[in-house]
Parts: sequence; C-alpha cells; structure tokens
Amino acid sequence: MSPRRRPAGATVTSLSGMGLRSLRARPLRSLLTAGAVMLGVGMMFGVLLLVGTIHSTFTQLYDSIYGRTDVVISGAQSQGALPVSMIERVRAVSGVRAASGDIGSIFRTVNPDGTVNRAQTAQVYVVGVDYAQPDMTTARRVAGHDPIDGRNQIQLDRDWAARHGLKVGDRVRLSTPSGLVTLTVSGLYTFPGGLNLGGYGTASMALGDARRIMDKPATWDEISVLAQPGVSVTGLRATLAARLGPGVEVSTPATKTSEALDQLSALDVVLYFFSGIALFVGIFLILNSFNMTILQRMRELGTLRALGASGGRVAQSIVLEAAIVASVGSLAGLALGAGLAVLLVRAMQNFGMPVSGIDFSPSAAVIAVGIGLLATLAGAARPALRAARVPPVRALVGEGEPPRPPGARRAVIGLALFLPSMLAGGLLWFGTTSTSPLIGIGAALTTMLMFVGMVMLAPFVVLPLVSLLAIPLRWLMPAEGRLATDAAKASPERTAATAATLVIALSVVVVNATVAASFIGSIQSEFDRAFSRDLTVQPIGYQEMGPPQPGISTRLLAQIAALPQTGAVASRRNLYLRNLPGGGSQGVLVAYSPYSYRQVDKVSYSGAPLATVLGGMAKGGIVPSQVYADEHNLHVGDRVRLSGPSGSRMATVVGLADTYEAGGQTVQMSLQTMAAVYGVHTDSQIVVKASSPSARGALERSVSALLARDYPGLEAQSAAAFKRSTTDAINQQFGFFNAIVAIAVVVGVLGIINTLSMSVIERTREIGVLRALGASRWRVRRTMANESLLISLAGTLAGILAGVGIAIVWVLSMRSTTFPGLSLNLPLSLLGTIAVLGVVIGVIAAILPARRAARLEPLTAIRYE
Amino acid sequence: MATGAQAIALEAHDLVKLYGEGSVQVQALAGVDLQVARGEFVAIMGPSGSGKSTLLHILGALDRPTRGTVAIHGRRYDTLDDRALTRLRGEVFGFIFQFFNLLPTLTAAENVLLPALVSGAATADYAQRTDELLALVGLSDRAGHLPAAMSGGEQQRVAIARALLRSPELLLADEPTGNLDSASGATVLGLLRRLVDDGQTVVMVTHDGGAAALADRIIFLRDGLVVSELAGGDDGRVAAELRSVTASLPPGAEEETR
Repeated sequence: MSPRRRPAGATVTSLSGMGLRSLRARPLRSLLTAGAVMLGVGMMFGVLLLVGTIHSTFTQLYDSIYGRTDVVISGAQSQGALPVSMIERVRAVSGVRAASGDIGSIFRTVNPDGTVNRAQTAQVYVVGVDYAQPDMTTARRVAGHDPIDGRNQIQLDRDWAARHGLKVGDRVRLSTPSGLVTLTVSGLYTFPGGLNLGGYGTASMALGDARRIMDKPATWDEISVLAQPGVSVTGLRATLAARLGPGVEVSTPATKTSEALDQLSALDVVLYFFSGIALFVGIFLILNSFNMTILQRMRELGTLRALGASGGRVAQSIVLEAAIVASVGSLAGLALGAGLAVLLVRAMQNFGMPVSGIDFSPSAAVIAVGIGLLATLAGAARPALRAARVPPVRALVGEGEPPRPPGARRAVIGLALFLPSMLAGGLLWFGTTSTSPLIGIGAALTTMLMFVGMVMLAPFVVLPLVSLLAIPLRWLMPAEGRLATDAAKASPERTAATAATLVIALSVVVVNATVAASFIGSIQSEFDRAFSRDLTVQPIGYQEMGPPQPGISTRLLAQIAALPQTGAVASRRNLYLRNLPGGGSQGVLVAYSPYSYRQVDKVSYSGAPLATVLGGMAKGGIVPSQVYADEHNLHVGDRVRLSGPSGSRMATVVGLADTYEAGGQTVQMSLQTMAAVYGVHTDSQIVVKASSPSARGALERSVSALLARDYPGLEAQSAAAFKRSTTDAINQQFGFFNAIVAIAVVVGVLGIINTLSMSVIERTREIGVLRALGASRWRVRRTMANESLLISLAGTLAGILAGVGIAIVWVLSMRSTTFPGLSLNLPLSLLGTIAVLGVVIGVIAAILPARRAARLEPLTAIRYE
Repeated sequence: MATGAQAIALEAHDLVKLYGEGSVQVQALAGVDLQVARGEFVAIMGPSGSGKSTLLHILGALDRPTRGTVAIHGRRYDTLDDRALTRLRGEVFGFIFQFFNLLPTLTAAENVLLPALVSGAATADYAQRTDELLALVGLSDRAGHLPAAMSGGEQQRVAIARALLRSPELLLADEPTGNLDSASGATVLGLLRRLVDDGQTVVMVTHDGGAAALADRIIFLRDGLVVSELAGGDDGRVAAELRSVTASLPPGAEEETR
C-alpha cells in the first residue's frame, strides 16, 4: 500500500474508528471475512424466506378457501372420501345453518397438438360445488356468472385465466380424470387476500358436471359447515364429531391450517440445518482470519498494552472489528439471500409445491442478521481472548510464539465429541420414523457437535494427507512442491482449520449422496426382485406422498385388460396417511386386488402361506410391511382398528409384506377394504404385464396410444422408465439439499484464498530471495498454486473420508432400525467428481494470491520487514 | 528527610528476575538496586544479556520481578495485579520504543491521542494537549500524516509526544536512537534532554555511548547486576567504561543491535 498523506474519513476518536482503519489496512482479508458472513447469512435468509413463503402460501390458501366456514368435515387425517349421504346427517344436526359439500381434482391444460401441458403452471385445482348453497370462501366474482350444471361450464381464478389468455365465454380444453374435456368459461373470480400459488390455478364448477368429469359419483372430499348465529363453534364441533363417528375429522379452518404447517415443520428443520452449514463453516474462516490478524499485529497489540490499554480493552477492539465485518457482511447477505430465495422458491415449485411469490418478512431478516452477528462473534471470540493475553512486553520483543503442533488432548476431546454425536446423529436423523420437529432439532444440534469434533480432529487427518499429497507434487515439481509443503506445514493449525471448512461441507455432500444412493440401490433391487410388471400407468407428475393427485378413471382398467398384448393387469390405490393403522407413524395405505395384483408383481409375504395371505386380504385382512410391523410390534393374527370416513372396523393382520416401498412405511389391503373404510373409489396406478416378453413393445405402444386418445393426463412408463423416475425423485430431493450445502464449499474457497494471502505476506522475504536467485514469476505462481492444491486436496480427501465413514455408520444404523433391507451403495462417480472439484477449488483459490506473490519485486520483497 | 524522600522518583531494591524453570532457568536480574531522583536522566548500559532490557520492562510496569521491590514516588508496584499495572502504564509511565511502534493506520495526531483512546479516557479532553505536544516536538505540520509518510526521526518524535500525553511521572526509553541516523538521533536526544531540563524524569536503555553521555548518570549492568556507575557528560569515559564492562565477557557475546 502506498502511504497516503491523509487517510480518508474522520479523525479516529474511538475504538471502532480504529477498528475501521485497521480493517481498511487489510482490505482483502476484511473482504473475504465479510464475504464468508455474507454467504452464510445469505443462505440462511434465503431459506428463512423460502420457509416463510411456503407457510404464508398455505395460510393464504386455507384462509381463502375456508373464508367464513366455521367447521370443516373431512376424512380422518384429511384423507379419503365421505359418503354422499353424510351431508344430510350434517344438516340434521341442530346449530348447523348450512352445509356445503365439495369434491376436487387437478386438471391440466392441453397443448394445441392435443398433448397435455406438463408445466407446473398448466395445473388448476378444480372444486365441484353446489352453487345453491352459500359460498363460504372469500372468492369475489369479477366477471360472468356461476357455472350452470349440465352445461360443462367452469369458473376460473382471474390471474390464472389471464396468464392463459382466457376470457368469459372462451372454451378451454382440459385434461381430467375422465379424459379430455372442453369447458366454457362462465365467470372469473379473485381471492381478495391475493392468493398466489406460484402458477397453479384454482377453479370451480357445478357439482353434477364435476361428479362426472372427476369420476367421483357418490362422495364428498370435504363438507364445509356454517353455524347458526349464536351457536358455539366448539360445541357444534363436538356434537358433529360424536354424531359422525370415528374416521371422520371435524375440525376448524384454523386447525386445518396449523395441521398443514405442522406437517411442514420437519422439512423446515432439515432446510434450516442445511442452510446453517455455510455460516457454521464461516465461523472457522472468521476464526482463522482474526488469528492471522493478531499474529501479524503482536507488536501493535503489545504497544496498546504498554500505552495503558487493559487486556479487556484490546479484546474489545478485536470484537469491534468483528462486529463491523459482521454488519457489512450481514447486510450484503440480506441482498444475496433475497436473490437466493427466488431460486429456492423456483426449485420448490419444480418439486410441485404450490409456493407463491416471496414473502419478505422483516423478522426473517432480523433472525438471519442476528445469527450472522452471533456466528462472527463466535469466530472472533478466541482470537479476541488471545489478543487480550498479548503481554505488553510484545511491544518491544515483537513476534509471536512459534506455532505448536496439535496435542493429544485435542485428539481425545475431538474423538469424544465426534464418535458419540455421529452415532446419535444417525439415530436421530434416520433411526425413527417420527416426523416431530423436536427430533429434527435434536438431530441438527447433534450433527453440529459432530462437526465441532471433526474440526478438532481435522489436523490429525489433514496434515498426514498434506504429507502424502506432497510426495507426487514434489516428484512433479521438486522446487515448488517442496516450498509449498513447507509453507503448508509451517502453520499446521491454520492449514488444518482452512481445510476443515471443506471437510465439513464436502462430508455433508458425500453423506447426502451416499444415503440417496443406498436408498436408490435398495429400491432398485426390490424392483428387480418383486416387480415383474412391464408398464406402470399413473398421472403425469404422480407422487406417492405429494400433494393431492388426480385419480384414474375406473374404466381404464377394463380398457387395458381388453388389449390383446395384455397378459395381466391390476390397479393400485394409494392413500397417504399421517398415522397408519396399527402404529401411528406416517406412511402409505396401499390397496389392490390380491389375486390379480399377484399376476403382475411378485411381492413376497411372510408369516403365513401365500394362499392364506391372499385369501385373508380378500376377506378384509391387512398386510403391513415387515419394517412397519417390526417397528410397531405387529404380528400375524393381531387385530387392528381401521377408521375412515366411510366406516370403521377391526381387521386382522394376515401376513407381512417384504417391501420397502415408501421407505417401508406401508400397510396393504384389498380394494374393497379401502373403499369400505376410506371411501376411495378411483385408482392411483395401473400396473400391466405383457402377455409375453416379446409383446412388451407392442403393449407399451398400444397403451400409450390409448392414453393419448382418452386420458392424456396419464402416462405409461416401462419398468426401466419407472425405475428411473423413482430414482430421479430421490436424487432431486437430495440434490436440492446439496445445492444449499454447496454455498459452504464457496466459503471454503474464500478460506483458502485468505490463508494463501497470509502465506504470501509471511513469505515475502522468501519469495524475494527466490526471485533474486533467478526464479521466474511463473515459478512463484506455481509455488502458491501448489500450496493451494495441498490444502484443497487434503480438505477434499478428508471430507470424502469423513463423509463415507459417517454415511457407512448411518446406513448401518438405519439398517438396524428403520430400514432393515438397506444396502450400502457408494456414489463412486460423485466421489470422483468431488475429488476433481478439489483440484478446481485449489486452482481457483490460488489465482489471486499467486498473482500477488508473482508481482512482488525482488528488491521490495527482500527489504520487507 | 521528608524532602529527601520526595526527591526520589523511582526506587528499586534487590530486583531478581528468573525466566524458565529447572535446568533451563535463566537469571536475567540477580539483585539490582537503583534509585532515580525526580527530574533526573538516567541511562542504563551493558552488554547483550546483561539484563538491561528486563530491568526496563520491570521499571516500566510491563513485567513483574520474581523478587524484590520497585516503587514510583513511594508507591510500590512490584506485586500489583494486571488491572492495576494497566492503570499505571496508562497514567504514570510513558514508554518510547526502538522501533517507534506507531500504529501504521493512524495519523501522527491520532497516534499521540492513542493512550487516551485505549485507556478509555475522554479523547476530547486531550485534543488541545495533542496539538501542544506536536508543537513541542516540532511536528505541528505533520499532524495528519501517516507514519509511513514520515522519516524515522519524525516517527520517534511522534512517539515521544505520545508518551507525554498523560503527563507521566516517569518516561522510559528503550534504545530510542537505535534505529535512527545520527542527525535524527541527536534531535531526539536533544528533545529528551530538554524535557529533563523542564523537570521530567527519564530512564533510557542504550548501547550508544554518545547518547548515554547526555544523561545525568549512567548505570552499567552485567550478568544481571549493577557493576558500576558514572556521571554523564563525557563521551570518552562512558565508552571506555562500557568497553571494560564488556571486555571480560567470553568471545562471541556481542552488543545487541536489535
């Protein structure tokens, strides 16, 4: 830095003024430190905004559709269908002023060529309602009139209609459960709350038309109730619940909303955890940064002490510097986070989640900045204490103590933190099927402890790796390799702490990828073992545990059965429940006709002979998966109560199914049982087997042709394609988490740049001597690049090792708890990619510091004091 | 007797300082007695390892003796805790360093103000004093300059002004001319002499006989003990005495040049 005559800014009359000057004197380091805070706070804020947006979308949705509804009646756990006669029983209850039933489905728009539009924004939630009943939603019509029954009319949400260029009187072709239908737009409405579902539309139509088009002839999805004036809603709710019996849920709009939000809370915790990792590793960059600053300023700090500053005052000056960095970084982080939130919301929309435009809440900003400040202070705390302990004599003696190699005590504490928290973390994340957010919070905190242990252990792994990596490097470039190795080892603690950032970030990526690969491997092996089907027919974008799905018309089964290439065909009906019968954890009820399904897929059963199991199912028995039965202590012969909106009865466990579908959380039953208890009459999937292996191609062609003609909203997937789409869904989910973690890797890159820049300063004299002895600028650059590579590769390899180790333990612990059939699969190609990434990181991080080093003039470098 | 006691500014008795433990233990001070009168200028000389730096650290409250007592104007500070020593350093002592130790990011004026800043005093009260001190050391026109833009001599004069900010009872200087050319060194020494003539008490460690000769009294240390004492004023005698103190040392022990 060339000396300026007068520094910019006001005269320094305070400690913070002094801190500001001191930060400006080391611009790169200050920027990198603030950059780490920015990235950490940014990701945190982005995810806070995302979660807030999801919550506000659901709240708005429920507020809009329930409006002035007092009581909502639905199947237990909001699933299944109510019998059509129930509405009269509701109306008969005293205190009920009006009751209005509805049925719903999802329609999609159709492209000009007759194919279905697969975009998220092509979807519209349609409810069929009786317009003679009072409208209890907040909808306000802005054009046209209510649809008239029998005329195939539809009333659209104004914004969605505008986006699709639809006006009152227009005709619109939509793909529905009963095939392609052309409807006339009778009116437009809007929700005054400004409901925005991120592209999804809403619509309503007259009940008679809806029953036919949605293929729901004799059920209600929900009944909304308006109480008589002066009647207590609580009392009415109790009366209705008693009158309608078990299996029917009588709730209020408020409890519906909070139930939906509760369901999201487990996901929220996972998102917060992954978003916190960048800030967590940022703490180590901050720690390193301030440690370096203090080492560099020993004489200065000693002088302050000699001039009468107390140790506390010196520490205060460091904390003030940290606070300045944190404030600047946090503010920049808010801007970054707002941008990230846009990307995150878009990613969520791609998962099919109806999320609206971002809800910028000031509380999210306050929380993100608060956590950013805390993290910065946590990182600066140790350096500040260290500064406080600088004795005044350092003013005269200068220089700090030589770096000490990490001691055995550190290894012991590190192991004592790492091992137990790794074991506990595995059990908390994967060892239970509970979706309680408390368990998620416990898992997140335990994992953070595990990270602290990893950081303490890092030197014992990273430094040997540096020595190991030095061997090929010195063989390739003897001089540069040697100098770089010495430099990396000269400050063992700093090298280890720098690499630790990468170790943590990459280990999380590796664990995510390994767990995903293991899930996928197990599911694929089950496909190969038990699924002998050739085709799977399901709605486009079908998700077993996702948002409500359009059903499949029951007519399709017969149509496919009639095809000449069809050997066997069966339907499956899936119902996602928060509390499966006989246990209480979430999962999927799967119904099929036992004998015909047997002709397609060969699920193996245990606990009873095959004929007994199939016969028992046909007579109303249930078959839990082996995993679910183990977890909830269910045995063949046990009696379990089934309660649904259409009925309640006792069912016998007639066998156990050897399946890991839905993570092993399934209970299987016959189609009749599901219809009688839960009122489900439409199919979720149709599985088909060709008459002979040689007929597979022809079968797929004729089924696809049939679907294209009659049900373009459905798709037929070959066994391979079905397998692929299932694994894609898992990969997508873990990929989303890894994308959030990736920002922590960027923090790791900043950390390496920071450390290398310090290395350039420390080795200015050495570099000068090299240059004076004839070393080219390029050789100097290569030396710096080598040091960078040593740190980044050691960190990357340690991250892979740690990640694989943790993943093995976690997969094994899952195998002994929730997922007995899980087999460990290492994502080898991803591990290779990460190793290559380590090289890329090393090269990128070296660019700036290497240029700085190469620009040193030999003379100035030698004179440098 | 009362007036006699008042005339003594600094009094050290049997100062012992040990570093390390067991076989690697080093005795830096082996029992030093020293009295400095109010308004007196004392120089301390001695070969490398004689303990002169250690003595200055203890006198300046930067370090504590292993044994022995030291008092300023009758107030002992050899056993005070860090908090009390911190206060003394800020209020009672002023320190001048060989390498000036100015904060590179602060201007000359801001460096002068630094003791008030770091000890938490109200800096506004010292604004005028800063101007006066910069005028005293002849650097009023350099108030807004950063250290890097100043010569070594100028930087040391800023350091002297800084040491004087809170009107210390004792000014301590560690090789104040050790890093200066002879002309700048002379200016700095002249400034110190002027301060003494105005009543300031000064203790200075130096290896420069010419500098020491400007003091009122020169103390010679060897192996942690005071071995001789000389009145100031005569360059030649100081140099001869230093040679004789150093001569009997084993070969290889050289004068510190830090």
